[in-house]
Amino acid sequence: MAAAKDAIKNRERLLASVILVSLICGWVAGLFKHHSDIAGFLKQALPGAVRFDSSEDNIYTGLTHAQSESKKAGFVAVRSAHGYAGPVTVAVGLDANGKIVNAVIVRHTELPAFFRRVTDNGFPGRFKGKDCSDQFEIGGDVDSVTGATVSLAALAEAVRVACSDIATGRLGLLPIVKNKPAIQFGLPEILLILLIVTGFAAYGKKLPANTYMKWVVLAASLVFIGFVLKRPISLININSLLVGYWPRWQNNVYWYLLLAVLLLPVILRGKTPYCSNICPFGATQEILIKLGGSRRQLPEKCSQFFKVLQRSLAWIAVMCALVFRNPAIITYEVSATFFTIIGQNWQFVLLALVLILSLFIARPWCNCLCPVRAVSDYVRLLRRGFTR
Amino acid sequence: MGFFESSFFWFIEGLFACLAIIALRTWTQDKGIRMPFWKWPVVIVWVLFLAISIAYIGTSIGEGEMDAAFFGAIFAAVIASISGVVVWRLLRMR
Repeated sequence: MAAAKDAIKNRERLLASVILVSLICGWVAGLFKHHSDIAGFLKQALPGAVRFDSSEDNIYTGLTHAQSESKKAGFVAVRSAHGYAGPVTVAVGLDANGKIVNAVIVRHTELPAFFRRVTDNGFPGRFKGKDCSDQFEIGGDVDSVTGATVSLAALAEAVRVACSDIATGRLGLLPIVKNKPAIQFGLPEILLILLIVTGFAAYGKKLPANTYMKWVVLAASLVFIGFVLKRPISLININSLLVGYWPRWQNNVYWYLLLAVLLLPVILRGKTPYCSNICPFGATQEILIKLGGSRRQLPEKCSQFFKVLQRSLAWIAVMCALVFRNPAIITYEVSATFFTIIGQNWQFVLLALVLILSLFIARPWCNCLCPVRAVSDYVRLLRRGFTR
Repeated sequence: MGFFESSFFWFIEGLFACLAIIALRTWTQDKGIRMPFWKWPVVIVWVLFLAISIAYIGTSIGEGEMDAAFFGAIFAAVIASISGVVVWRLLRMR
């Protein structure tokens, strides 16, 4: 019996090492990824220019003729800002008066279903004609788009930075000061901290009415992290971390808190309260199993199969993200579909299946497919190997 | 006027509705399930929801609105399943 257990542990350790090596190889392979040529985007951003002179600050001067006597048609800057799943890069063309001639998306790694909402609403074309001294504030001088606020904010920020750089670097204007606090820390961050603290306390059984407290935290998480903020943790967040798309912490305290609550406890103690006590989609499944009145687990063989499937799918998704430097290249999570009602058709079918199964089986998504669970399991396995 | 718009169709509908209610009553008596007055509207509302959902999906397909039919089917399936389980648990309550 002990020998069999040792054999399983050795096999797991070997598998963990193989996965680690493969992820490192994937990350290195991603370094050699071919980046698209931006010449075409420059032409689209400033159609009046025939050729472009580049400079060290990555601002291109558009010239009207191919010869030396040509006049300046304007300037183009290519700038990026962090969206939901990585940088959104735009090429912004400005004329000599500081008006936007055109803005073109060069590259983005946002979820297609969400980013389509931005483009369907006419962005980035709607930035045409705006002045470089504008604030580019969502809900202010830029109309908001329901369900794609983070992606649109990244797009607007990239355009603002490009305009500001051209205005100060080429047009000799004063730098544009944005009316924004230095550190973004508001109600979402405070709510998240409260949920994390109570979630941890309930997990450590340090609260008087522990079971009731767990339900209060789960319900609050379902409402606030799920339906109000619509930002539960997802594999995309973990992929962004691995790929190296780390957003500025000053504007993304929420993002870092969420990742910290998942990963730090696993690294330090080998377990995390996120899945059982804080995850809003976990809360949904807990409520449904309570309604169903059953607490059935999957049969052992079935459970083993789904564990392998869960980890294999997560590994493929992480590998592809690393190789293609795109955190959202493969995504099959249904939590975002549930809370935002945005997604591909197959995600809605999968979501419906998960919700119906949740009435009869304990946490089918968490136990069978959730990639976040697979990642935390893998970190735990690595930790066990290292501590030994 | 087609069959589905005729009064005869609604007469048959009513007939089936009566049969279904009688069948439910007999079935609950056989199973020893008590049916106080409040359980009846709960069951009827659930059955009506199911019927309206099927009608919505069918009509959407008929009108060529496949997206509406698809999303209608998904939402109806989830809501009908969850509420169905709740109704079933309420029915079994003594």
